[in-house]
Amino acid sequence: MRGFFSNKVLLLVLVTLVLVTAVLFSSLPGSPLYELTTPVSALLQPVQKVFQTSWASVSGLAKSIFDAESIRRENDRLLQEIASLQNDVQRLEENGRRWEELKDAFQIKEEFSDYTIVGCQVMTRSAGPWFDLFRVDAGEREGISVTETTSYPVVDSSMRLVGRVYSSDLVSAKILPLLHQGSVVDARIDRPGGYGARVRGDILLRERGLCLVDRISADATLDVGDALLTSGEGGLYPAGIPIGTIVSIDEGQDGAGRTATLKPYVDFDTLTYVFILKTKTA
Amino acid sequence: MNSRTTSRSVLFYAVAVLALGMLQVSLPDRTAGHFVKPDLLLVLPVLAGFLFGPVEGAVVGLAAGFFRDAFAGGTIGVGMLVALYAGLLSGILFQRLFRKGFFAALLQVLIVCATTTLLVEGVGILFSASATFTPEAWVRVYLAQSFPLQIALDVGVAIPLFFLMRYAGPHRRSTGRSSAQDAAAEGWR
Repeated sequence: MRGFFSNKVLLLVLVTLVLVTAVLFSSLPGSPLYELTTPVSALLQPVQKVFQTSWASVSGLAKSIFDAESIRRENDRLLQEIASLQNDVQRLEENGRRWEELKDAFQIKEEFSDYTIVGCQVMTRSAGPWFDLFRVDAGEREGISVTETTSYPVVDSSMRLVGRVYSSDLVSAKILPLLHQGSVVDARIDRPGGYGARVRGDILLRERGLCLVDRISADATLDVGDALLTSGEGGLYPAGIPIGTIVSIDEGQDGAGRTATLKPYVDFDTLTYVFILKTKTA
Repeated sequence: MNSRTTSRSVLFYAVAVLALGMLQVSLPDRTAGHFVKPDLLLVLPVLAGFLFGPVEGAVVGLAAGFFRDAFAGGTIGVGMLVALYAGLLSGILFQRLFRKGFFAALLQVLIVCATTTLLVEGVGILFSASATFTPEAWVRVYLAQSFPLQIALDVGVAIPLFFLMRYAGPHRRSTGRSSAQDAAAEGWR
């Protein structure tokens, strides 16, 4: 046995085989291999939260140093304005904040009464272009358990589509964003008649923060600026979630179907909180 | 290698993988408008392989890859496989040409990161069945814009990391490859 492990090439082949097997198994939806990440997630979640808070403070400090001069000038101007409006602002600010929070929550609850909403914080962003999933701090403990047939839509606080839950462990879940090349959503154009289309991630369009729209109904009228909503077909996404707007249309040549590019409503770079929609029966 | 040296190595790499990993998944997804960010978890095993031999590069790659897979990977194993081979290869490749030096390390990071990035991008294109992919579009959108920025970022982060690993790294007063590490690399030939 010792001789076997001292043979480095053989050991390398063995490790490679184990890893390839792990890749194949973990590519199955709901694979138990994701449970391997539970201890790591559970141990590192508090550390990650502290790190993230510190990182946000450091980035904020660095930004404020770079912006110091412009901030100072703007501050002088704003101080004059504030002096005259201070009383009104103090009274209205708190009311406004409460109203915004209630409005967002109410909108979600009203439109998706069949769903339980699990709010969660974005813990980690992607590790690079090859691994563009992001992680949130809700998992099986909150009832988010991905299987071969079950996944969950994810929206932001304004009820706009972010993506879907890709995998979960006990304390965290990974979200597949709309821009990812593995993302496919059945959509409808937000016009009278509501013709269907399909929104999918594309490896080249992702570079520009866009998605591809294909399978557009031949009879559909589609213009730049049109909004797309989830159609409700396919069973995963409930109907009516705003996805994004059309930014360009390619009429297709040589028999190729019409395609378009879509800019998602959600700004993935600034996303800090998301909401997972869990069916009440799940 | 005595137990004290081993403890120092393990502690250094554990802290390095954790800190660099957390930093990487906290950085914004885009740099200068492109979908790239410095790949700290790839540069670390590449430098470990270059400075301290293929075995160390491979083991650090395995650990860095696991962190990547656990925190941001769609599948478990891809990140580990890629980083393992990147660390291993950087301990073997060009070892007779590149000796110890700072610029040689940067050149090694450039070559290994560029090769790895292109390989993974190529596999991604193959498996994603992109509808908009054409070689011209790929050259225009990725190869001419995002890719050079990605490699520049990787080489950029390798500069402080090189000095950290060489002078305050896993091996006391390490000055690059020793003859024993060269001999270890020979074992893979």
